[in-house]
Amino acid sequence: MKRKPITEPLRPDTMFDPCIKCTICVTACPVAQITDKFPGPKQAGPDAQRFRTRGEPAEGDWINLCTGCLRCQVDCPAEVPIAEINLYAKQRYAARKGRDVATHMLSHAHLISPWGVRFRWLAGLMLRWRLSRWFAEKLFGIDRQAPMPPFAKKRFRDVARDYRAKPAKRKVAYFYGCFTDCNDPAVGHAVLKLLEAAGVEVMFPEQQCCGAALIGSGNFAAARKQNEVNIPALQQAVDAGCEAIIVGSPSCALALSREAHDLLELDGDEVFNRVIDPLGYLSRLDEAGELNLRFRETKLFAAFHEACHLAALGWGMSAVPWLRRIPGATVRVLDAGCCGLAGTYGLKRKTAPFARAIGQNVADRIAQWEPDVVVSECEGCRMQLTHLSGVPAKHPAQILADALEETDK
Amino acid sequence: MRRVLVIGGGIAGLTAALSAARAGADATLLQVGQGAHHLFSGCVDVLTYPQADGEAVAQPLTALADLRDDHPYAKVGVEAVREALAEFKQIVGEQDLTYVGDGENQKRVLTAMGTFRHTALTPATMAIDPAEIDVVCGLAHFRNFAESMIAAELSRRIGRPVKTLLFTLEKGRRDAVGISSRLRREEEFSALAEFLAAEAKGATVALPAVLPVENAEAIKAQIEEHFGGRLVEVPGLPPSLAGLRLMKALRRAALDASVASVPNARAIGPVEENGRIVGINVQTGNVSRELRTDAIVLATGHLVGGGLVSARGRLREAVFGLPLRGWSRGPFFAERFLATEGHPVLQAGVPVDAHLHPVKDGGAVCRNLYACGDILAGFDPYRERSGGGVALSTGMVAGRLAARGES
Repeated sequence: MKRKPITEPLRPDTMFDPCIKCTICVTACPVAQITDKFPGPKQAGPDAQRFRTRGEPAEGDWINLCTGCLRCQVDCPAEVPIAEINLYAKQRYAARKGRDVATHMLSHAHLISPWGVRFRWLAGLMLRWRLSRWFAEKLFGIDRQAPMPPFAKKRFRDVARDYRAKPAKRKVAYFYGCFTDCNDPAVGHAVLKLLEAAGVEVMFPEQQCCGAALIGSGNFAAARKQNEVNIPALQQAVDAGCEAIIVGSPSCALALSREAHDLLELDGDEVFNRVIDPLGYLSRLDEAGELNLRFRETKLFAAFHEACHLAALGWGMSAVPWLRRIPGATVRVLDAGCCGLAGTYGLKRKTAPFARAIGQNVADRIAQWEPDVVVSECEGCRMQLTHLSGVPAKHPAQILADALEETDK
Repeated sequence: MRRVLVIGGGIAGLTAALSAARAGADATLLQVGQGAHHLFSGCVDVLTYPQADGEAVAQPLTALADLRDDHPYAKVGVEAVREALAEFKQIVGEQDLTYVGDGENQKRVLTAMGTFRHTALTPATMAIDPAEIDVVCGLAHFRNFAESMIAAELSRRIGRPVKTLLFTLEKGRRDAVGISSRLRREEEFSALAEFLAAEAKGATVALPAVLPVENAEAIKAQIEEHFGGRLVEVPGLPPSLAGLRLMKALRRAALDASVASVPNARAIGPVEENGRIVGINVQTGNVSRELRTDAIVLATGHLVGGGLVSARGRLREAVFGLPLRGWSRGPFFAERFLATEGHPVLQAGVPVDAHLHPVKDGGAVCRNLYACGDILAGFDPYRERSGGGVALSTGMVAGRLAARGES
C-alpha cells in the first residue's frame, strides 16, 4: 500500500505544465486583491512561463510586485510551484535590468544589522527621526512610514557563544536567524528556556543569514553562498547527534529546507528533513510522553496569525495547541490572510503602500477582536501587524516561556 | 484524547474535522491546495435529479427515501442529512454567513444563463426567487456576466419585462476577485448604491456574485438601505466568491473549534503496525514526515479534488490504493459534455459499509478508517446535484464515528 514519494523537483521549463487554469491562485493572491498593476499569479506564473521557455522576455517590473508569500502555491490544487516560477522570473528580470538600491540593501540586512547593534543609539535615532527617514526614502528607496525594528543591546550570537549546554539524551541544533540575533533576542531566550525546560541539549552550529530575503528578491547566487556555509554546518550538528534543527522563523525554515533544495539546488536531505519549529518539536516529545511542561494561569487573549511561510512549510500551527494549554488564556486564529510585509516588500517605497493595503484585512480583524497580543512566529508579520493595529506582537515561544511554571530540578 | 486525522480540506473534510472536534476528539485537518468550493455556486444541493431521465424533485429530503441502498444518503439515513443541514446553517451562521432553506422544499436561484437552478440551501445573498427580480445589473468590463442575455431569458420565463442596467466601476481591477475586494471599501460600494438609487430605486436587482468575501451581508444591507430595494447575487463562472465565503466560514469555525489545520501537506500513504493504520506519511515538497493518529477520515474528493487519480486509463485511490466500485474500465466520459445520463467515470468511488468504513471483499479494510464526501461510491454528484448534501451529511457522520471510535 505504500507509495514512493516524488522527490524530484520540477524545473522551471516544465513546472507550469500541471496548471489547469482553475484560478484558485488568483483568489489566494493578496496582491491581485488590491491592485491591477500585478497581473495575478496565474498570468505572472504559469501563463507567462510558456513564453519564457521559448526565450522571450515575458516579465516587466510588475514581477517585483509578487511578494513571494507562496499563498498561490499553497492553494494550488495541481501543486504548480507558482511562486517559485515567479522567483525564477524575478531572477531573470534582475539579470536584465538590475536591482534597485532598496532591494539590495534590505536583502543584505544581515551585513548591516550587526553595525546597527554596535551603534545602537545612533541607529535608533536614525530610524525614529523623521528627517533621516525622509533621506533614506529619497536616497535608498526605503519607505519612511514602514515599520523598522529596533536593534538589540546584546546580540543573541554572543549569548549562544557563551552558552554551556547540559548534556542530555536528546540533542538539537538551534538556528535562531538574523532577526533574533540583532533585533529581537528575547525570542531566542524564550526558545532556549522552553528547550531547557524540556530537558534537551541545545547546540549552536555556526550560522549565517539563511538567505530568505535574497531568495525573495531573486538573488539565488548570493543566497546559495550563505547556505553553502549553513547547510554543511548544520550537517555537522546532525553528525554530532542532533535529531532536530530548531528554526524559530518560518521564512528561515523554508530557506533551509525547501528552497535550499528546489531553488538553490543544494544537497542536504538529512538537514532539510530535520528542520522544525520549536513548538512542533516539543509536540513531538510530548507525544512520545517525555514532556511535563506546566503553565501558570495567565489571563490573556491572544490572536494567532498564521504566517504565509508557516502555511507553506506544511507543519500546521503547532503553537496554537500549546498556547491553549495556558490556563486562563483565550486563543483564536485570525485566518485573515497575508499581513503584506513579506520580508523586504513592506519596507520599500515602491511596494510599501501595497503591503499596507494587503495587511488591512488582518488589521481590521484585529481591531474587531481587540486581543491583548498578536502571536506569530514570523518577525515580519509581527512588525507589520503591530504597525497596522497598534497591538503588541510576540513569538509564541515568548508567551509560553513567560507562562512556564518553574520547576525545581 | 482520541486523535482524528482528516485528509482533505473541502466541505466534507472541514465538516468531518469540525464534527470530530465537537465530539471531543483532537482533530487535525491535512490538505493540499483548497477544496473545490471556488468552482461551485456556494449553494448547497441535496438532490435534484435522482433519475437520469427524470424530472427535478421538488422535495429533496423526501426524495432521499427512494434511493438505492448503496447511495451515500442511504448509508447515513435521512435524519442525519436533515441534522447535517441544520448544523451547517448554525455553524456558518456563527461566522456571519447566513444560509436559507432546510432541504424540505427546493429553492430557485437565477443562473448566469438566465435559467433557474434548484437547490436546497442558498446563501442569504442569493435567497430571492428569480420570479421577483425586476432588474439585471451588469458590470462594465466584467466579462463573465451578460445582463442582456440573462434578462431576456428570465423575462421569457416569468412572462414580464426585466430591465437591464450597466454599472461602470472606476478604473482598476475588474475581474471577480478584484471587484469583490474593491467592494469592501465604502467609496466603491457607495458608488454602486448611488447608481442603483438613481436607476432602480426600490427595485429587486440581480447582480453578479461579486460581493466581498468578508462582510458580504453587511455590505449588501448597506447598499439596499441606500437604494430602498433588494439585491440578489447571481452565481456565475469560477472563481466563485460565494464558494469562498462558504469555505472561509467553515474553516474559521473549524479553527475556533480547535481543529489543527495543516495546509500544504500531501498524505502519501499509511503507516502500518500489526495490520492497523497508526499514522500517515506526509510530504511537503522535498520534505516528508510521519503523523500519528488513532483514526483517519478520507475526504480527498473525486477526480477534481484529487482523491482519485487516473493513470493509463485506470483509476486509483490516491492515498491507500483502496478498491473502487462503479466503474472498472472503458471510456471515462460520455460522448456529450452535458450528458443527462452522466459521465461513466463519475460513478466510480470507494464503497463503504454502514459505518462509512471503506470495504474490501465484503469487510472493512480497516476499523479506524472512514470515508466521506465525493470519493464515495454509489452516486454521481454532478448528475444528481447531490454533492453538497452528501459532503455535509457523510462528513458529519464520519467525523463523529471517528471521534467515538466504534468497533
